[in-house]
Amino acid sequence: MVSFILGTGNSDFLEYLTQKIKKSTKKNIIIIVPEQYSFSAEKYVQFYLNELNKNIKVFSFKRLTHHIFKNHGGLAGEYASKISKISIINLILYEFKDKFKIYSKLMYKPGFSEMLLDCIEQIKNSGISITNLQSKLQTLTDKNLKLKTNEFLQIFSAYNSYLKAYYRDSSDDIIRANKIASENNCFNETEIYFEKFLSFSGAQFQFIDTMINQADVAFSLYYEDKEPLFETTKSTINKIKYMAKQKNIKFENFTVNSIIPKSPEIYIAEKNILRTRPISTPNKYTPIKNINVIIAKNKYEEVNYVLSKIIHLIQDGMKYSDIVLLTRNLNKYKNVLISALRNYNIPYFIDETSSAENMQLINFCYNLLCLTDSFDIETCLNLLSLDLTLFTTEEISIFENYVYTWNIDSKTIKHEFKNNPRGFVSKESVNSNDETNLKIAEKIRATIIEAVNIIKTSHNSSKKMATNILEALEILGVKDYIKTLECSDQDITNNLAMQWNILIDILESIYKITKNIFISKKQYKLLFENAIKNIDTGQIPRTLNSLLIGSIERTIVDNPQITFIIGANDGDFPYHSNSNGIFTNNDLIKFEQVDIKLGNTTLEKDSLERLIAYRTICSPSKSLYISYKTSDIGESNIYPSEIISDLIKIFSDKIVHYVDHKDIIFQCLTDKSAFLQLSQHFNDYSKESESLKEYFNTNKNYSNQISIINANKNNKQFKKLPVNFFPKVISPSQIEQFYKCPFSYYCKYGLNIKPRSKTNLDSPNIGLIVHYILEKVVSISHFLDMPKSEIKTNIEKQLSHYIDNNLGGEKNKSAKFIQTCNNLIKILLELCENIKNELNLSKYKPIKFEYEISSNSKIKCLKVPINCDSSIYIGGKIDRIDMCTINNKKYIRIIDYKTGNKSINFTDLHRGLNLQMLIYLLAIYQNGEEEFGDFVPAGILYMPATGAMKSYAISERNPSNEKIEEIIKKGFRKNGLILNSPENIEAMEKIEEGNCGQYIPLRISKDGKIFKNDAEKFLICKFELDSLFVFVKNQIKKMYRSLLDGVIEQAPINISENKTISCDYCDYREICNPENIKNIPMIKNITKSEFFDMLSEEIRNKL
Amino acid sequence: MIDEKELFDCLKINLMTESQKQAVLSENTPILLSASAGSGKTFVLSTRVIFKLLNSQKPICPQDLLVVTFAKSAAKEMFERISLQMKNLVSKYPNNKNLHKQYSLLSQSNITTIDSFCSNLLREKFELVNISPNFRIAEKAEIDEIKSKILDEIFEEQYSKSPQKFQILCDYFSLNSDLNLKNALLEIYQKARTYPFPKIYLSKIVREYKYPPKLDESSWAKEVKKGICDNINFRKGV
Repeated sequence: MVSFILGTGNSDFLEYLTQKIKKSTKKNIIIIVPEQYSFSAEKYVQFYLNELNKNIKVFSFKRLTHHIFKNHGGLAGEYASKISKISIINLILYEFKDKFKIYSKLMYKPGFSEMLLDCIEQIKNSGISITNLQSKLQTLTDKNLKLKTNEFLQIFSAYNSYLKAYYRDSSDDIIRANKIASENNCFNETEIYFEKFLSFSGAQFQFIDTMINQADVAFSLYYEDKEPLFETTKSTINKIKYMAKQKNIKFENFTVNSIIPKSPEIYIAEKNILRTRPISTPNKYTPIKNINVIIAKNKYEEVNYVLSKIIHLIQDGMKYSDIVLLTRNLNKYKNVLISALRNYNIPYFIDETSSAENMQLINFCYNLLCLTDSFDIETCLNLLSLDLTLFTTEEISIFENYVYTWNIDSKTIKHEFKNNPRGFVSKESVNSNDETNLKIAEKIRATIIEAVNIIKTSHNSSKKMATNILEALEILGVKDYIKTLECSDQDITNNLAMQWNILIDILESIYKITKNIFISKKQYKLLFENAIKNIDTGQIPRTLNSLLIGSIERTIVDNPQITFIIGANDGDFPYHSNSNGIFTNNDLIKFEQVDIKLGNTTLEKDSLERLIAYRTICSPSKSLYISYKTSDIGESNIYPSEIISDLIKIFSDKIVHYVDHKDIIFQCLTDKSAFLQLSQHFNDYSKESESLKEYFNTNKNYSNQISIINANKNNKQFKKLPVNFFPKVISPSQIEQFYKCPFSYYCKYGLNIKPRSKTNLDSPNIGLIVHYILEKVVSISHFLDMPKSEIKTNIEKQLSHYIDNNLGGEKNKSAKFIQTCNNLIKILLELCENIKNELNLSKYKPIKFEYEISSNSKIKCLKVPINCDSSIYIGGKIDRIDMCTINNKKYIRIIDYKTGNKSINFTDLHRGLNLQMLIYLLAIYQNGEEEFGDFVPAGILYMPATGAMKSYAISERNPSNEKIEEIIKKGFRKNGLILNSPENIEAMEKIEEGNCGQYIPLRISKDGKIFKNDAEKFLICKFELDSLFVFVKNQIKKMYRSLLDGVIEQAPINISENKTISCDYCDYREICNPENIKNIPMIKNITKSEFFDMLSEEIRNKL
Repeated sequence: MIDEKELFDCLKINLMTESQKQAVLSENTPILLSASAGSGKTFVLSTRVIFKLLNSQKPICPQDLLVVTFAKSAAKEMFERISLQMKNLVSKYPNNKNLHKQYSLLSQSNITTIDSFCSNLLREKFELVNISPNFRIAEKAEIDEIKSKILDEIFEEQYSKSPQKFQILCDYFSLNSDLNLKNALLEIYQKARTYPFPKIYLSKIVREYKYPPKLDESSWAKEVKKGICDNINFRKGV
């Protein structure tokens, strides 16, 4: 007799079952439940059916097969672990690699072997044998499918043979147990009840077929006539009825009328959800408290709100064990959940197994194997960052910096590290620290290479590979490192011991399968990779009062009071299956057409998912909370599940709660969660955020953080900084940095945070080379008479010397480096030629090159008193000082070579920018009497060192092309400020009337006057120059006083009118997130006369 | 399945304009439905889909349906409209088994965005295109990193193979650095990828450089001419 006990999500199946068992005349009763439910079912039998004096047993399919094997034989042999199964699949793929047309190309693709194993297990679960499948192969009309199936069958068959040689396969258990049960009449005189199942696999159906032949079998199933929601049940009933009919066994339907006591809203939801018939709404007077829809912006808000709600329920007297939190997408939510659960101090149990992929030691070995297969710098750094070697974090950072700075790749890492860890540094500047760091970097390099080489010598043997991996771990100091931990932290040690055991298991499993065959490094890596993904690391048992978190499809809950469902988004709940796998949905349909049921089609999977969703909605006895997010991690919109729309239609939108700022206090349940809320709403200035600030101000763990944030947000002023916090001797570029943004100054010169730089020939390095070579070549005594060819030879000689001395030599340099050097020679040759021409035309002659202003040099630093007892000193290096004597008076101008665009204008000066040249001129004017005697400061000029590069390509420059020559010449015209005296201007360059200067930025009209615009921009009188010197000193004072007052705010400025801001090229932009900085002041253009008017005004005000 | 007359009533086809009706009922011919925003294009299209699924003459199977949109929201709206209408019909005809079946199969239809359709297709046919079945769509930063690495390698190779020629090429794009050439190459790459066969497109371009056609026939001259003509026509109009 076959009975179908039918009911809905609210039906009390267990009560019905109890009554039925009580009435039963049979002594042997078997209740078969899903594995996850077996513990609850046993508990139920113990409480309610124990007194019946019957032999009642509760089994899952797995336990039932074990019971049969135990009584009738079949327990001998070791079960294959997933690692072994995956390893076998990989070996077969390798073995067959030349025979396959389709699968040979895919053997190394990630996930492919797992997909094959899934397919094999699915077919085994479907109860289909290889012979079965082979017999139908010829009837397939689709050629591609035929070929694919043929190749798959060869793998399947080889897999079975391999497995048999070593192991038993748990996937074969049902088929084996069924055979035994059928031969031994195991179920005679027995009544069997199936409880809590939604559907059965093919192999299970075959087992059921044997059961109904020997026993009375009853199935409890959710069912409602004419509703597509119950399509899965309908199909199950039809299959079982068909089996019964074949055997002339009667079947009967029973309806469960008793219902589990639940809240009225849950009854209404059950009756209406996911149905096609018109939805009935509750009586308008029914208060709706027990159905809640929560809408959050993203999964973080969603999880935080839900966990807060759970705590509020606990505070109202609920127990954690009364609540379950389910999602159909546990993988997506797991990390967010675990981190939030810690913030809320909620005890929890997650019902799922974890992989070994993220374990420190396992990951370390995997990275090591990857390096052995193909060396890659990123992997090498990953390996070190796992912190399992005896190298300290500082040592690893030194190695990482070296690798970064010197562009070390998989080829260059094989050679000894010999360069300076700081990058391009002259031999004279090498210090003992550099030598120590180089030794450290080299030691790490050599150790890694040694470890990798050891594994490489494994000669295709998995035994040797395993021993070599262990030896490599020893070389890298992993064993010693673990030993050092033994005395310190017991938890970490235990965890590492567990990982060590897992590693040994993996190595042994791979060895067992592959001991008789050759195995390449790549293959071994693949086996290891698949093994760590699939290892089951076990679970910590659930404690009595903890929140159960589970995946909807795996977890069968036992009538909880409250169910939370998170992630109820379209496509996720009910889950919409994709057609992927070795056999696609269309393939499965084609197989069905030839009477082979390989697995469920997407339609069947979707039907089952809807039934699972229905079961979950009906699960609570008191309340249901269901939440979804409106956007995904990339902030694109995502949509609610149809269940949400159904619930809103049934209960109206009164059940909807939007998570918003009003929920701040609601979510403040622990200090951590409250601080999280405050950090998200710090700038709201709402009652809630202000109350939280007040609370944390008095909390000793948080008050310091609050005061720092407050200082930054409100006053833009920090605590006064000690006088010695910033350097006392500074360079003009520091002043520039401060006025571009005080915060960047603080990072660079206060905190000394330095960006890492690569040893590439980038603009700063090219600038240094240009300065060096110009100094060397222009200062040669006969430079002004030097022929072009000799200049070129000198440039080449100096460049070569510079590369040897400062850039680590020419060896191992990239082709791009060499090309850049060649281009540099051309640029420098043009530049030298132009300097030579200019000096031949001018009365000014260079007297100093790369001239130092410092406390140790002839010209001392510029001293600027800050207050009565302290001063600040500014030093630096002047590229070139030119002098000429006119009417027995000495005139001095200073020249700066610039590889980029730079010009002096009054707008920038007013904002504290481009003060460098004025500072230098002032320094030598103030302190240089001894060195230069009495002189007139005659000007400051920038010389564009790359000449006309921006107008003409180096590759196109050709000495015979006169037009280009002209353009190149124009490119060397200087700009800056020139002392406005006719003799000075003439000494710099004699400009013909109606012409413009070739080297100075002045045009003379036909009547002999300097153009007004040029005079306004570039000429300056002595009085104005003196005022500028005063202005410069004041700017320096202002800067230093501000720093001491703690003004280190983020205050970038506009660099040019095309919206470039100082943050665009700032090394610290990642730290301060400039996107949040608003109201950057616009550039207000200031002319020379406006500038000096403002200056006089300031002086008048001071007086 | 549902009698045509009844279906006309249920779907309010009789209330439609002639051209809307035509758009719903026309068969064996491609149709282009063009109308202003808010004029009911989605309504007409969803009615056409339902009509195709439920008419008693020759209903199509939902699995054989492909509705492609360019935005998730549009796909969602389309599916919801069709699903809701069919749900109403199922409750109106509770004993119509075929209608029930079509409704159950609706989740198997491809009403999706073009991205999602392509991704599913690749996932299903991974063995034909020789890609990993576990593939995922890379993040922009990851792709940028790979592109930059590859460009560096190519440039290094070119700098060492023929530095002079390569320098000339770099100079065409910028006199300061090779960055502009890199960006130009990335742009060409992006452009080529919009063609169904990028390599064929690129070799066609290269061929045109190697064996330049007459000025009048070159593709860029055609573009210039077209631009001039458009400009003239525009000015004439003004």
